[in-house]
Amino acid sequence: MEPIVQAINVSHQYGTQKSVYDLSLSLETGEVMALLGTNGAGKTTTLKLLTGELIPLTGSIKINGVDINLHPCKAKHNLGYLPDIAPLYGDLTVDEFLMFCGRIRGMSANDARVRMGEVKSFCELKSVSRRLISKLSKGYQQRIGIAQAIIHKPVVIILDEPTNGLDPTQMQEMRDLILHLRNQSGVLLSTHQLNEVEQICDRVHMIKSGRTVFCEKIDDLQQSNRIRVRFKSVAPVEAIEKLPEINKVIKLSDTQIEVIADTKPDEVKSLLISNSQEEDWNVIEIYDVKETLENIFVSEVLRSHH
Amino acid sequence: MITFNICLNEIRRIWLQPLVWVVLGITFVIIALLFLVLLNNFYSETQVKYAGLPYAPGVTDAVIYPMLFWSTLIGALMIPIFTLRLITEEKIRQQHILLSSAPVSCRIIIFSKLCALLSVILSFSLLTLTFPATIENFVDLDWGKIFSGIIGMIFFQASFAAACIWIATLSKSLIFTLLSCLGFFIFSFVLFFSGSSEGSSSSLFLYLSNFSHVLAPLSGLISSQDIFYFILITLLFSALAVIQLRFKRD
Repeated sequence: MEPIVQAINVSHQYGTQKSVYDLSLSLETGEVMALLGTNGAGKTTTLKLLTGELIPLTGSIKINGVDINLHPCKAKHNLGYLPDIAPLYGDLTVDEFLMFCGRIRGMSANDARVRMGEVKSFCELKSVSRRLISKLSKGYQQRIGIAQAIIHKPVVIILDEPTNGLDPTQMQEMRDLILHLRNQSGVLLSTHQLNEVEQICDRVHMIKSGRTVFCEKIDDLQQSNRIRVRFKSVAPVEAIEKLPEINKVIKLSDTQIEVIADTKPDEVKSLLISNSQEEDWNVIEIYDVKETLENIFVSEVLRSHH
Repeated sequence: MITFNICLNEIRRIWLQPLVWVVLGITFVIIALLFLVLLNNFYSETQVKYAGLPYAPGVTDAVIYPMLFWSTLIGALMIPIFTLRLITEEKIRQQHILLSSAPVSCRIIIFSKLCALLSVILSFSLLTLTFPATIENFVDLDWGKIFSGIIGMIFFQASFAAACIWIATLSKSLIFTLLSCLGFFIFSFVLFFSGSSEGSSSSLFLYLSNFSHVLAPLSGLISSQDIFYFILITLLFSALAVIQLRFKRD
């Protein structure tokens, strides 16, 4: 199946300053992907390229199979976008605004009215239908931002820092909303909240200075090939190094080591336990070292950043 | 249908702004005072001065013509304020992304902004007509001349509105936009002034300045050349604004 977003070798520059280098990414239906990076890494520029707000210098971007630069109007029918500041008309009521958003996406008045009701229920906006947008709280305004992005049932939803400026309760509500969105579309979001990515995303794409530095499924991050072992007495480093499938042994202290293996962690643990019984190594504790997103972010983005 | 909805929304939003009502109110107070002064001058001085002379100027020439001339200028000067609200403030608040991320072309976006400004211009022009209408029962007015003046006023202000829209697409700065729009207005006046001054008259300068094309309609003479000029200028600046919006994506 063709990805709903497919960017291939996309580059962009502001004047003479290159902001995105040969970036490639893809998004599948039902997937939530996070775009991570420090401030100025090129996240917002990447999102602007994907939404057709900027034209890439090289490369191509397809939204649901349609090239956004060759056929922008056709491609944008499949796209819902919430920028970092929600594009709302404060002088309109919620109903007036959502109706307008539906109509400019080519919906008939009846379809827009029906869909507006659904979207208001989904985003819990019914209680404020007739209120002026400028008089609503930041949380409600962000919900209206989401509502305008999904009113035309887009295949791709792009959200730029959707939880920015929200309080913890509103953040959690917004995350629940995003999780519901994956049922009908693919979601690409940019954020600084690593816990948010771990909670709601299926895949993470890290960029640094406009270049991709890491792209992996969140589930795959959980599976590590690193195991830590703690002994009652001095760790038998040399003996473990000689075991098959063991790639490297790092001595953390006299009694603690970290083992990096080529095989699955469970097989290595079985190997270590059986050898411990045979050689009487007095193992106290043996556990997987799980990669956290924070560790990866620090090693891939921040450490090389300085 | 999308174009119609966007235009309707822009027109609706501009009229929802209290600023529009305040500016229009202030403008009409100024024009009303001007009208009263001109009318008073006509009865106390002009009428006495030209009494008994054949082809003496009537109320239309002595009162309505200068009133329409000043209304045209005052009306044009309020256009940059609305342009700031329509385009520059939208850019500052990032509201323009709503339309740029929707399946809407740059042409439609600019056309809708122009329609919103035209709605204000038309309302202003029609309201200006209420001044001669108040004295209709007491004097003989030449309504042909008055309508010609109103048409000239509409075309002049529409061409200036298109220029202001183009200027507003160039920058995010309120001050830059406001000063540039006023600068354009003054520049056009200087072109007219230098083109028509004795000794250094230039037909090119006169043709380029929109002031030289509005005087004839204001005095009751509509020529296809002037109308064509205003349509050309309006289309030219609208096209430049569309190009500028597209250029911003590169």
